[in-house]
Amino acid sequence: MKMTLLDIDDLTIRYSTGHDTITAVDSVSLEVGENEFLGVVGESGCGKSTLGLSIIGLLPPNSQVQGSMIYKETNLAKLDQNAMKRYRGTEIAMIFQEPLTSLNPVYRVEDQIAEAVVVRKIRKESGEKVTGEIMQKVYKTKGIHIPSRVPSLRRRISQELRDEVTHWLNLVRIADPEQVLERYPFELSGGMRQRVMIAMALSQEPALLIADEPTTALDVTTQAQVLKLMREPMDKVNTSIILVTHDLAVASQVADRVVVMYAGQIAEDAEVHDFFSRPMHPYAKALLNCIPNGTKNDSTLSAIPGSVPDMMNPHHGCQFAPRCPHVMDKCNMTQPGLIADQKNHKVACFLYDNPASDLI
Amino acid sequence: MANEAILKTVNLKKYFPVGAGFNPFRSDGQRYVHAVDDVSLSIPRGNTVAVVGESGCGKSTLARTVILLTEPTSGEVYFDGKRIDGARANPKEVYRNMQMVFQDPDSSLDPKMAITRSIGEPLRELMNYSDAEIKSIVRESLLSVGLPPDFERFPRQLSGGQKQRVAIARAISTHPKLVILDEPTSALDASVQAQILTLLVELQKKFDLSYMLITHNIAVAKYLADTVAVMYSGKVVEYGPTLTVIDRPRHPYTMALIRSAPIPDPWNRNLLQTEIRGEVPSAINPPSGCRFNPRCPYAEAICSQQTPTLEEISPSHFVACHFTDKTADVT
Repeated sequence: MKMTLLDIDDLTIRYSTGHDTITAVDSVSLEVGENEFLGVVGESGCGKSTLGLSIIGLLPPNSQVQGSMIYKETNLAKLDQNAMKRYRGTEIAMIFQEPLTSLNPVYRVEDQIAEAVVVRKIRKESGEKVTGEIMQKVYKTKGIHIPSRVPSLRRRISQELRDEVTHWLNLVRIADPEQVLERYPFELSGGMRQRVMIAMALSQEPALLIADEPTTALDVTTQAQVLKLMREPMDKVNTSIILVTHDLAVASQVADRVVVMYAGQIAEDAEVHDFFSRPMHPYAKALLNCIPNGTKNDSTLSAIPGSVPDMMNPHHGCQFAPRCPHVMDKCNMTQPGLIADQKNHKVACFLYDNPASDLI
Repeated sequence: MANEAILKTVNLKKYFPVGAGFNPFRSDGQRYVHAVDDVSLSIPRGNTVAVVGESGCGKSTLARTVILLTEPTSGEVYFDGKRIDGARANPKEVYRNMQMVFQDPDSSLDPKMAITRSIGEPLRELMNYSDAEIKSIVRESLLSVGLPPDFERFPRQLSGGQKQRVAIARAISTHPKLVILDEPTSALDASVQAQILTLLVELQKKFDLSYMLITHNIAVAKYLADTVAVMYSGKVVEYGPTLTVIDRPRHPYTMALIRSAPIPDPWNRNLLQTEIRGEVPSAINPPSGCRFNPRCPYAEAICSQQTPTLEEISPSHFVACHFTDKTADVT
């Protein structure tokens, strides 16, 4: 059993909109081990992104968080924004879906990664709080301070810092890093941008990396390269990764453990091989059957009838009950809790309530 | 066989001119994006041909050229035996028999038009039907895509899957012979994608439709298509029956593409084994010879000098590669 890095217990996140409240994440309990690759899978609106954002403390102001998220003995749910800054970026990093909106368009790649590296150094090595203009610190570090009227010369980072930035770019397999350093984000292709984001996140040597759909905007061959990049340096940097994705196939390829979410709740949580050999929750099974695997002549796709529940008026009882082929009376009245079997394969479904059940 | 094809393109090319910028010292003249470069395809009646490739490979431009949304630079397009490219055909007549479903229903449906009106639009524009007839055809179309026949809504009131159903209903309302599906499911969730794919197969049988499917998703192509054409940088590099191309690919690019496509199988982590490097080349200045040569593990000197042509390596399986004998051992 791996050491637990992050222990989420009974986490509920609500958004208030005007007169209504929407429960985006509903009593989620989940553990992330050290050096573990966790895949959080679900369809749009299931709360997977909200879960990711809540860990790093980037929820919008109209949200309320209940429950606890214990990260190395600190409850992240109780931290205020100022205290959160000590973790965000440095201890817990995040990669977003669209790298163009998360990279700063007016700074070159070199400067942006250098900024991240400098911040890490200030925080981790001298334990100082980072305040004020960080980019000025970047240009001045131990630097060759060139008093120049030419702005491009004034904006030079020290060779030492530059070498470190190159090191991180090499780690994410950017060909010709010396050239890429000089470019602005708009001059890079989608795959390169996402790699720069990963380099920046890894340069923090975070203990936990949250990747929210990092490859959804990318082509398949680029997606394969990027996923490989996330998986490979895990051991070198000793990072745990939470990969938020809508694609079960992607999760099966890289994750150690898979968590399936439905309507804000965890439906199933299991080791990846265990999950794919015996999926238990009817939703997880149905989702697996939705992946085309064969031709129209020799296979049938079983689509899930109905649609995702309206989060404004959640169903009473199990959220999947209206679409479930095995629905029982009980399902419409009470919500099933997560139950675990001997292999720590957890499922939230009344079908498995009875130990003698032969459905397993 | 030739007149069996519902759609045929012959040496179709589409180049987009790009501006030379403000540099007055440029001497290399007008430059072009080689979006579609010498593509010859044919779609047999009642069949589905998938055009597979990554972004920028020209697959969407191919579709747009075929359906006369852009004019080809050179080459010929035949629909139902008649040449339709350039000003040779009346677009209204072509669109009666050829319709298109776009990737994103949010931008292909008019947000201010009730969906029944949207679906009736091609009928009003292309055919001479009375209002009552249009109304009944719209009801029929809605029923065939699995929506209630009196579905008086606006696009904003619908879910993504329902919107795509409406877009499909609109495309089939004129009872076309060929429907071009441009990434019909890539904006949808997995469970909705399954619904739409099942619907497309059902409609094909019911109305005897032919499909030209544009997709980057190998699993979707495998499910829907009878024939697969793999495009890379404007050219078709491999072409053949779906199962042959997907299970026994012979072009190094197809091999890499298929290995990169994630499959839900944690015991077979093919995705982490991919060796493909680099990215799709610039279509303005494509590499000489075979366009895949800078990324290809089998590349030799000849690959950057001579452009390989499509050769039939087994019945109806065409591959454009100098070293198909080498790739045979791998698969």
